[in-house]
Parts: sequence; C-alpha cells; structure tokens
Amino acid sequence: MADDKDVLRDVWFGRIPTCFILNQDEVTEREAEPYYLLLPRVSYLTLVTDKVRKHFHKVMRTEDAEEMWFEYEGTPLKWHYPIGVLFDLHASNTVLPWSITVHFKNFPDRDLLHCPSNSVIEAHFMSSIKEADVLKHKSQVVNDMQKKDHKQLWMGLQNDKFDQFWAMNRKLMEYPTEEGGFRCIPFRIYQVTFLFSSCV
Amino acid sequence: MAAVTGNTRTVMTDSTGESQRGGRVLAPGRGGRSAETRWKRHIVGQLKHRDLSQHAKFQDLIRFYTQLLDRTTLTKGILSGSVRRPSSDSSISSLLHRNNQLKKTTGELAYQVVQLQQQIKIKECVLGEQHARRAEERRRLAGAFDARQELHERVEQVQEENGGLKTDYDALLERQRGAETKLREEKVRGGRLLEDMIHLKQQAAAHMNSRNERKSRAREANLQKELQTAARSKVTMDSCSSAPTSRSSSPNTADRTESSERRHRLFRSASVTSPRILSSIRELFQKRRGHSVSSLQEDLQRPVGICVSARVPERALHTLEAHEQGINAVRFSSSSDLLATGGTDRVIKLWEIRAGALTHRATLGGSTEGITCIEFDPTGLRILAASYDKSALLWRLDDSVPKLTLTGHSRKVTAARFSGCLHQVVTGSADRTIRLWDLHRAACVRVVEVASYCSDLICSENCIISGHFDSKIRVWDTSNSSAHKNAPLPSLQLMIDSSVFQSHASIDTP
Repeated sequence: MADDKDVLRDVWFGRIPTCFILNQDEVTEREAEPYYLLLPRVSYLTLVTDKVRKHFHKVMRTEDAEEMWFEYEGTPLKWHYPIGVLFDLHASNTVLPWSITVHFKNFPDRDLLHCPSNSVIEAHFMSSIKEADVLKHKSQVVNDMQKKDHKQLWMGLQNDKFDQFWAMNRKLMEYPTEEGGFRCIPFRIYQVTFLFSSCV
Repeated sequence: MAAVTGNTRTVMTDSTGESQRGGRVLAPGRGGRSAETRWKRHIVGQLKHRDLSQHAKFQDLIRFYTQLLDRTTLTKGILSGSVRRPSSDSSISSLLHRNNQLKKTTGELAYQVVQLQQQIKIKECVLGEQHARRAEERRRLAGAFDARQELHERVEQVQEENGGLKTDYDALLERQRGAETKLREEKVRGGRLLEDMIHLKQQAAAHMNSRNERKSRAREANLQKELQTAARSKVTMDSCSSAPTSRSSSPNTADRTESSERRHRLFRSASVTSPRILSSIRELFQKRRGHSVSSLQEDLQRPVGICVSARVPERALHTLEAHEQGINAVRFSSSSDLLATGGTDRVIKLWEIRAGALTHRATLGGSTEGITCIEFDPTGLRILAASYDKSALLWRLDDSVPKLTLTGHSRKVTAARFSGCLHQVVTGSADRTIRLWDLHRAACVRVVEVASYCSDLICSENCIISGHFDSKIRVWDTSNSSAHKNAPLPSLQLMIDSSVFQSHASIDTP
C-alpha cells in the first residue's frame, strides 16, 4: 500500500470544477450569480455544498429556503452517490466546469432521499464501509475498531483530511500476505437507471 | 488472474467500495512484473491527466472568482450600509473594534520593540567586551612575537659564538698536530742520537778493549820473557815459600805463579766459574784474602792458561743437584768458603767449597714457605733469609733452627738485608712496605709505605736502594742519626722498561 501512496493521494485529492446556478424559477431578490466550486470526488454533495447554500440564501428570502437539491440537465442528482461517480455517470464528456442547477423548491421525493443533517450522510458512509469489510475481512476488522476510529474515518472524509482518513483506512485495506490479496473484493456498479445493484 | 488483480487494484484505490471509473482502460495483463508496472503507470498517467484537465485549470480561477465575489458582496454591503443603519452601525462598530485591535497590536509591537532594544544593548555590551578581549589577546600575541624575535636573535648570537669557538678549536687542533709531528721527529732524532752515542761508546769500548788486549799481550810477552830468564837463572829455595812439594811443576814456577797470581788475579781464564769471579772481584776491591788453593792447583795443572783476559763464564765448572725444588737464592759468605742456597723447598743448605766441588755441610730449616733471599751478616756467623711465609728468619751458622723470626709483613718478604749497623735488618715485601727491624728487640722499628711492591733491596752505609715492581728504583737516605725521626725519602727515580734485579756489581760501580 505504501508504494501506491501517490495513487491514493491523487484519487483522494481529485476535484471537479463545478458551477452552481440557481434555478430561474426560484424567487430571488436580486440576480444570483453563479457560484464556482471545486468539489472533491470522494465526498458527497450535501457534505460540501454549505457555501453554495449560504451564497444563494443571501439573494433569497429566508422563508423560501427549503431543502436544497441539485439536478443536472433534468436529472436530479442523488446525494448518496459520491460526487465523482455522479460526474462520471452524467457529465463525463461535457465541457468543464460542470454546471449544476440548484433548486430549493419542489423536492422530488420519488427520486431523491432527504438529507436533513450530516449524521444521515455519516450513517450511509459507515454502512458502506461495513458492507465492504464484511466481504474483505468477514467484518472482523471493522468490528474490532473502536467507536473513535469510526469517527476518525468520518471526520477525515468530512474535513478532507487524507492522513487522518487513511490512518484508519489502512487497517481495512490490509490483507494477510500468504494469500497474496483479498479473497473477496467488494465493488459496486452504477448504471444510469433508477435501480442500482451491488454485487460481489 | 491478472485481470482480477487489476480489479483489485482499482477497487483498492477506491476504499469506499465504489465503482470503476469510466474511461479507464484496464490493461489485460499477461502476468509478471512488467505488466503490473505498466498498468500501474497507465493508471497513474490517467489520474494525472484527469487531475490536470479537471482540477488544476480551474483551481486558481475558482479561487479568484470566489474572492471577487466576496469582495463585491462586501462592497455591496458597505454601499448599501449607508441606507441601513443597523448595518452601518455594525460596520462602524466593527471598524472601531478593528481600530482597538490595531491599537492593541501597536502596543504589543511597541513593547516588543522596547524589549528588542534592550536585547540590542545587552548584545552591544557583550560585543564591546569581546572587542576588548580581542585587543588584549592581540597585545599578548605581539608580546609573544617580540619574545620570539629576541630568542631568535639570541640563538643567532650563540651560533656565532659557537662558530668562533669552533675555529679556535680547529686552530688549536692544527697546532697540536704540528706539535705532535715535531715531537715524533724529535723522538726519532733522539733515538738516532742515542744510537750514535751507543755506537760511539761501543767504538770507544772496542778501542779500549783492543788497547787492553795489546797491553795484556805485551805483559804476557813480558812475563814470558821473564819466565824464560827466570827459568834460565838459578834461584835458591826459600823456607817460607808456601807452595806444596807434591806439585809436579817446579817450585820456582809455583812461587812465581803465586806472586804473579796475586798481581794478576784479574786475568783469569774463561773457564773460571762465576763464584770465583765474584770472589776474585770482591777480593780486588775489599782487599781480602781468600783461599787460593784451588786456583793455584788449577794453574799448576795447566801451566799454559796462566794469564788470559777475563770473560763471562760459558760453561759450568761443577753442577750439583742441591735442592729438591727450585733454587731462588745463592750467596757466598763474607769469607767465601761457605755457600748458602735456598729455594722453594723451604730449607737453606750450606755448602763448603773444597777442591773445586761443593760438599754439603748443614741444612737450616724453619721456614714454612720457600726462601726468596739469603744474606750472610758481615761477620759471617749468621744467616738472614726472607721467605714467602711473610717473615724473615735469622739463623746462627750451624743451628738448624732459626734464632729469630721477624714477622709483620702481610705478604711475602722478597728481600732481607743487614743494614749498615750489625743489629738492624731491612726487609722489603710484596705488601708494598719496607720495614726496619732491630735485632736486639726482634721488633719492627719503622715501616715505610711505598707505592709498589718491593722486589729487591740492598743496603749501604747511608742509603737503602730498593727496586720495585713499578719499574722504579727508590733510594732511601738513612744517614741521619735517629732513623725514627727522618722518613727516608726517595732521592732518585729512574724509569726503566722492565723490573730490575739488582746485584752488587751494578751498584758498586760508581
């Protein structure tokens, strides 16, 4: 793992230039300027878009601000997918920066999950970790880890701290050397349809 | 297998268990390290490309945009601040707040400035001290340099002096060598002169010898003539003639020979033994009469050899086994009818000389070691002998037991002599002393320390002459009345190459 550190860093620090544009239908006091941001690929939309919300809240009336949701060219963007996945899935061939439309009204309950707070995102993230570890280590490692270690993983992701995250993640990525690799490798395949499936 | 490992790699890099990235080509591996590294490099390259195209380009742009946005909002806020009081108040208060903050910071900075100035002063003091120390060190260094210079000069001086001394020394050496060569030359010359002198003396002696020979021949001729005339003439017999009648030759000739004997005793034939020469010489000088029986007898038996020149004896007249071991001393008595011999066998034997032969008369014992020297006293009645047993012994003539033993020396006594007076004896010994003894008391009256051991000594009336191992002859003066008071002083010292054995003959010739 150590010799792949450059690759790990490149993966972690991957960014997508994004342009957030407020939907014209939204009622604003004055014209809202688009907000540009470099989004980390490994993170989740609702985790990193606080600034967007603040920016757009400045030009809106407070009573109109409901839960923020994003869509790209008509497709609502599911926040529980990582940002990199969303980009590669929907807009990998488009011109950069990636233009996302920000909505505050008409939350599509059928398409998207609600995200009231960061703890929801944390729960989703931790469940993914545990699922993966079941396949890798029969969930021994993740169960041996203490609560503070789980927290460290989450905080590393949330604050974009590579070393903090990988200090804990290293344990999850260790494999017994005599086997030369993991017996079972978890991966997920995403398709641009409503359903998604996870396989081994 | 390689494809699976490729999958492993991609999923591992994506720890959250998410999908493959679109647009990434997985190299279908052939297995082996090169394939592994190749796809790795491929992946790395892809990542970098993505990073470049998506991230790096937009990074600065977005940053500047947000900054601009912030500034515009701020300015918008400030511009619109004049309309809305609370916001302006807030801005003023914020400004005041900022003002206070700035004042605080200036105060802190002023305090820091003061502190720093104090530190500067301290450092300057330290610097001043160091300068002072440096100056002092410089002075000391200069002092050391001067001292070194002085020492250098002194060294040079000393070297010059040494050079001068050396030249002096060389000059002296040259002179010494010159002097040495001159000395050698002088020695050679001296040697040559000595040879010449000896040669001259030899010539003179030869001359004298020839003269003496001529004279003797002349006298012989005269004698012959007289004999012939006497033979021819008739002479009446005299009753006082002492010649025995049993001789074959005529009494006249006996008479004549006797008279001529007396006059010409010196001119004996060469066949005379050494004691006879000694005795004859002694007779000549001391005017004593000795028995002439044997000499007359010989002359009568050989009428031819009457007067011939005196020569060193060549062959012994008589040989006798006298002692069991070596003989060290032989002495005639003063009346020359007794011979005493002594040697390693610790006895002295007395011999009477009769008819040309020695007959044993007496043996004197009493010494515990060998005899070194024998002397008869002037009366001929006592014999003094020196012995290896560190004593000198005195016998009466016919006593076989010594009358006196003089002990006192610590080593062998080499010589014992009667001194000028009858009752004093002088002994010389190997213990480097010469002792004077008084015979009446049989005690040593004086001890004289000499530097070397005395091998022989003789006495005359006023002096004692001793010969020593260190090649010196010492002459001691005993002429003053009481020998106690005066130390006999050496009055003559001769250097001779080998040790000297003195004999009467050499001393008594003037």
